[in-house]
Amino acid sequence: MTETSFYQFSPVTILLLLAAFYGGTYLLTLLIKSDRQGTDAFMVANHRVGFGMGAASMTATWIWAASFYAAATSGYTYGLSGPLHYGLWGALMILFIYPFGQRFRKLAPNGHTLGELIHARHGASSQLILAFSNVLGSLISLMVNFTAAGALVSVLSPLSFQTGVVIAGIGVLSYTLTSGFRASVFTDFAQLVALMAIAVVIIPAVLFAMGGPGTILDGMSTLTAEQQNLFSMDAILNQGAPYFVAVLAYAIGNQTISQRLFAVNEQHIKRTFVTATVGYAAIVIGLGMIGLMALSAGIEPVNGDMNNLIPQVVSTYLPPVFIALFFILVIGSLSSTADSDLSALSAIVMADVYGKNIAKDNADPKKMLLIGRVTMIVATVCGLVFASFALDILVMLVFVGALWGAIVFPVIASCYWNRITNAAFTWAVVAALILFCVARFDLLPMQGVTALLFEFLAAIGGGVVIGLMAFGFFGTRTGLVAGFIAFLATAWFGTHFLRDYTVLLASLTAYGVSTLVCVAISLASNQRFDFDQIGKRVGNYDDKDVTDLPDGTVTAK
Amino acid sequence: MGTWIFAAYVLVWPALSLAVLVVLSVSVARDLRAAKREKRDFI
Repeated sequence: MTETSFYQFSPVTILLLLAAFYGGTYLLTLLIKSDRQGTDAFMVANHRVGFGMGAASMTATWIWAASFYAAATSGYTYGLSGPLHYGLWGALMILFIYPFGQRFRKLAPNGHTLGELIHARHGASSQLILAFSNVLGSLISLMVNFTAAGALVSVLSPLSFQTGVVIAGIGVLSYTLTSGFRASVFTDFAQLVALMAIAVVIIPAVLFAMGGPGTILDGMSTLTAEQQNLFSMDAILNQGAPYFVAVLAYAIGNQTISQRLFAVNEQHIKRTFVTATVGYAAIVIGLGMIGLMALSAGIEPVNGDMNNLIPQVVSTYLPPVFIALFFILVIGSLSSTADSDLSALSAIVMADVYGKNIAKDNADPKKMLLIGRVTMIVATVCGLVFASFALDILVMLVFVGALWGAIVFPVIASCYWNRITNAAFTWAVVAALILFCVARFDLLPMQGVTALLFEFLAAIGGGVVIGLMAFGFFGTRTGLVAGFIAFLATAWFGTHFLRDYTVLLASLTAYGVSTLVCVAISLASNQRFDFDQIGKRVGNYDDKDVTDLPDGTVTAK
Repeated sequence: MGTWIFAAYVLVWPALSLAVLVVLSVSVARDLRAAKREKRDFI
């Protein structure tokens, strides 16, 4: 197949589709425009987002352009189980964070960012580590989404890559700038409705256009045994396991999630996040099935680029109206994530940088709003510039992943255990990052005692991952037991084995080291923290009376 | 694997999407009505 196998829209059609999408979205935000909007509304919609809006927003935010492409790639590479090993673990990132989110809300009912909570708990250095990781993550996400827009426009029309990037950037900024997070949540709902409706139509359409389930099933006889196996070890070890390890890291390290944890009506956190989990899994796994169908049909991705797979299948098998729907699907998914990233970045700079470190809790709300909007403009420009240069972000992604893995235990433990200190938090992250880099970039040869040491640290990391997940849902005792069993299992099966799976080894090492250092330094200290201080220190910037909590707020114990 | 099982494996996801879409739409419509009744901002 050549590049001409993609259906080509005329430039006018593509521009009309983009104008309809971004123009319609902008008009929607006029419905919620308010001259009385304060910083609290701009950052977290006054902590009163309802269940439907909250779940839709969480789902739409977590689905970015790469979700479709990566899920389809996984289906194409690993066969039957591939889509599950991308979509399921991505969905669990939403599910596993909500018990911790409920704790965050109890500790800081007026919070806007996780960084504010950590600032109240530890001070500036820990907070800025978290804020830095959040900023880096959101900037990368912005860049990836704008890049996806450019790539899609250039593949489906004669317009250039840069044209797509610029239109997406300006389009997203135009509807997010005025109302901030409120606009993001409101438009997320509309975008998700379109996204789900299109996914519901496109997946069966592709299946039957390719000849129906029988034909696809016949084609599967040509796949390898691993690709035909729903429990493929190849898929588990190379796709599922590294992704599973990252479940809590992505959730903790991403301000777009914590912003929604602070924004959703406190009584609805659980059902909001459970529903978003199901919604995300359904859409992403469903679209991942297109990769599986392509594999079964013997389709080769154009130029060997897996990102071409879905556009290629849609172009080949479906009529133009479906291709236009697919175009809107991808533009909707990348825009909903990009507007959430802009809102997240503005909240971090407003609260974590200006509110806590420059104004020192004497923030001027008007200046704060201005800072938030300027942040959105600067972030969009950065995203556009980085996307236009088509930078290689692999190293940056690896580093951010490590940073997120390193902060998981210190952040969660800081919210439950009164002995964690600022030094313990900071040094845990630094030590984990150093040893992560050693394992990830093979700075030391992974053999002999060195390999055994790293596998031992990784086994502790395995115990920490499972332990924290169990702890979130079932409490301390179950968490400790599950963690210990997972440690023993990882040590038993992982010794002499994990050294061959660098990504997994490095990720687990980051968890293990950060936990060991954090616990050791904390135990050596006599400090005890009173958790009630957090609620008093994290306030509403529009109203200095921190005792004026939202309706139904439950305070920390 | 049987044809029906494979068809279900592929089509269960759009069906699930549709179900979630209905749940979210009903909930948002309910919130919208409540906000109008109480004369407050919807979001």
